[in-house]
Amino acid sequence: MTEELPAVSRNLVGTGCPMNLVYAKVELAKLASGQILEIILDDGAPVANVAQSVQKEGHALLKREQRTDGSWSVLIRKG
Amino acid sequence: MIDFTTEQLQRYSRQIILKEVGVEGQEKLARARILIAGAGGLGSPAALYLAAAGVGHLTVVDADVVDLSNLQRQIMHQTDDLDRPKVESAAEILRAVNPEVRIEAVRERLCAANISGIISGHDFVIDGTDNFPAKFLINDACVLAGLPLSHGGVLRFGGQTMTVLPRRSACYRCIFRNPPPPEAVSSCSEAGILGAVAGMLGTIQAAEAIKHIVGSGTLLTDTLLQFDALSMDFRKIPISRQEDCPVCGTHPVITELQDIDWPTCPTGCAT
Repeated sequence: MTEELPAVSRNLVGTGCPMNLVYAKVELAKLASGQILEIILDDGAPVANVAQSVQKEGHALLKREQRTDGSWSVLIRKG
Repeated sequence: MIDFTTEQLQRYSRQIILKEVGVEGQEKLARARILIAGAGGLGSPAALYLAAAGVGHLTVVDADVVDLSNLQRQIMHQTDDLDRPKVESAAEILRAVNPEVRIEAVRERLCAANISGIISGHDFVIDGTDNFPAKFLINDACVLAGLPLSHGGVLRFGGQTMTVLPRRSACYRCIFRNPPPPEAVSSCSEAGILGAVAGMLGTIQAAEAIKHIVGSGTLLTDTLLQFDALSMDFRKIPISRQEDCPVCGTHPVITELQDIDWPTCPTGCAT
């Protein structure tokens, strides 16, 4: 079991749809296949939509964890 | 990798979020150089969409000035542009749509002597010309230069288009050997065109160019797409490279470019 440490973390709290997905894709584009990106997303539509969209693009959703302030930490492994 | 600004990411966000485009595709578009032959009914929508999409460099070639009868379909030009060179009004509106795009305005009529130099250095050519000699010349020049091209033609309510990857898919001459004799072509008075039909075809050509640049989807290669907007029927006709094609066949007879003499319409029934 490899340790799931993100190579990059980007806080997208306050960034609405679809720009949060755009920024997530920008960060993913900079990574090599297999590297992990952490994004912090607002609760509700952002976490639901972005998590679903990156999976449809061939990336793996490793973890979704709600933080104490209600936002979500999402770990994505680049496909 | 291009470091897009926040404004650029916002401007192109609706296509960056497409899986088939993405950040990588947007970069390819920003680095692309596309030539649009003809700033008319096909070239207008094609150029406007390509500029809006963030294609890095657009070359627009046209020798004509804006005529009142052009405005019904040539949507790059406006009433205030009458008598201005089309490439000038085109460059102005394209820069206004997207100041990031480099626009090169070439006020020339493409001919055998100048076409190779003008198309050189581009990644894709959109044929939006309005006459058969120009269409054959552009096809031949692109095949000889190995330059991908979108052929397009419209008349009345109909349109047809095909995308050519030289020596990999059928070219215009594989299907249509030579320009039809002038008497077989509709006279200018019969050659009406609905502006929206030119728009439909020009936008198909822009979509083909973008797909080719970003490397997504299936191009209209080895396929002639024809539509009739009156019935709104679309059909795809499979075509294939011809061994005896005079320009891309096994023993080509066209190895250098030649102008074709052909009477032009004096009243300017341009697409």
